[in-house]
Amino acid sequence: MNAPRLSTARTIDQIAAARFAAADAEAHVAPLLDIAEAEATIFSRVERAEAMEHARRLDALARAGKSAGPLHGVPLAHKDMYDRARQVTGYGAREGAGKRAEVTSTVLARLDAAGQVDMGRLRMSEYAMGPTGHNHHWGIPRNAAKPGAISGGSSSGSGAAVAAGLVRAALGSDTGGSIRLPAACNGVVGFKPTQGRVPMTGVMPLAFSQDTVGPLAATVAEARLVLSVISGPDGIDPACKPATPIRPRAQGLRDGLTVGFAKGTFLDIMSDSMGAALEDVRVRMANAAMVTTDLDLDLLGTLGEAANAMAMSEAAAVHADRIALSPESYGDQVRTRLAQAVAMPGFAYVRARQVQKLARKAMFDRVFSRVDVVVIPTLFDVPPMEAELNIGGGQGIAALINRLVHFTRPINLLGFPAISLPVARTPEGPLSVQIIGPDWSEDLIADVADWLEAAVSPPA
Amino acid sequence: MDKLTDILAGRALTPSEEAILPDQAARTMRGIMEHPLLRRPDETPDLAATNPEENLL
Repeated sequence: MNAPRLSTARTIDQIAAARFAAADAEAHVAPLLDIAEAEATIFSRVERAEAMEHARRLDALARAGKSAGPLHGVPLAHKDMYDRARQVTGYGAREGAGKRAEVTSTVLARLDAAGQVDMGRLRMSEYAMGPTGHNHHWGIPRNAAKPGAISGGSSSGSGAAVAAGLVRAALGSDTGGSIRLPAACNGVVGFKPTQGRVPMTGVMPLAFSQDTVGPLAATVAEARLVLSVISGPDGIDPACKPATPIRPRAQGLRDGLTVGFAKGTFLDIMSDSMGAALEDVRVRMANAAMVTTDLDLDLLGTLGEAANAMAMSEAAAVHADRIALSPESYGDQVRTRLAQAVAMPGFAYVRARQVQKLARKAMFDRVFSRVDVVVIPTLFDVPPMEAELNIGGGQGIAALINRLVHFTRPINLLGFPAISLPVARTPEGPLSVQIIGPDWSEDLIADVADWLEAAVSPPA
Repeated sequence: MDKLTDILAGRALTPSEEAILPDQAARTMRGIMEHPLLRRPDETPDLAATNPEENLL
């Protein structure tokens, strides 16, 4: 169905301002929930009662002349891997395989405190494993940007919900590209933060060394605002580091910003149309007095297996007990991927960690000593059609995944922040690039993305 | 725990899961054990050591 795009007429800022001025739980939130409930490929569960109760509380607050915060009354949703007290977290797994949470995750609690109206839970790849968005148990979310194409994964419902206009932003998670790939497939923005920027408390673990959580959103500004709300240590997750908070708003770029573009074999899998989009970005940046330069980034193309070995070994550790108890509850693709860990002995994991350390050093020495940010594709081309990639756990799954995550997975191994945004909308689908910076450079890459978004958007 | 032991021993895999292991082992060798950051083909490999405690991001 083609859902009315109720929420897309206004940005998060405009929604928050309007709801602060006029109570509208019944007029705005209720019909949006009706639409969400009809989108069964996108929402796994709409939390109608809780959303309406919360919206009415926010309306009462507004009537008293008070605002909950920067997200006052803004309808958001989240990938079904965030705990909320007394609700079941589903993990994209088979019916009955989720868990009833006792405590609300830090990020949801922070969004609540900032005034969100949490509409509920979004579809995802099973246990956040799967870059196409296919789910053995639940199918694949519809792609409003390119009907029939993959939604991308694993934050499949998050990308689809934003593209369909059901929400302005939604939470995802990214261990190998799971925010950026669905963002690219659905033609929206995805913001993967620095490893350790956002606490993972109450979030389903996949691979601790590379797990990150962040937003997918309709615009760079909205992604940034949501990320600024959920970031920072919570005193519980020891891996979450204190860092300068992210600014909630953009500021202009400084003069002489240097931007690196890859030359070499790393880009070999890129389509001609993706190459043209990338070149267009480079020309626009050069015309805006940024300094663009060629970089040898072939190292990135060598990091996929180290990232995969660490991620699958850690994921196998997470799932070992459960898969031993009920292997039949797992879909074919997830089982096959976890089985890869059998061919990843402990000494290979140690070597992979060593590659990680050396690769980070090389990136600082060779890349971020020369440029402020790097621009590379998010996906090799426009999103592929979903029927072509629905291969379950069959032979060829490793090659398929390697191709899809070629430009995203190395960034997780390195721990750097990256923001993906669409830079061209062709008849064949959207084309997106990533802007990547060193640790804790979220403000800079968001400022560059904000500029680029405006530069490639046709005037209203 | 018997089933977990079987998994660790590689005995609990389905035929299709077992079928991917040789390919995965080859990719582990090529992508990690022989990674150019760790060694060059013309060198006698150095002893490799890493301390996970130092692996701070």
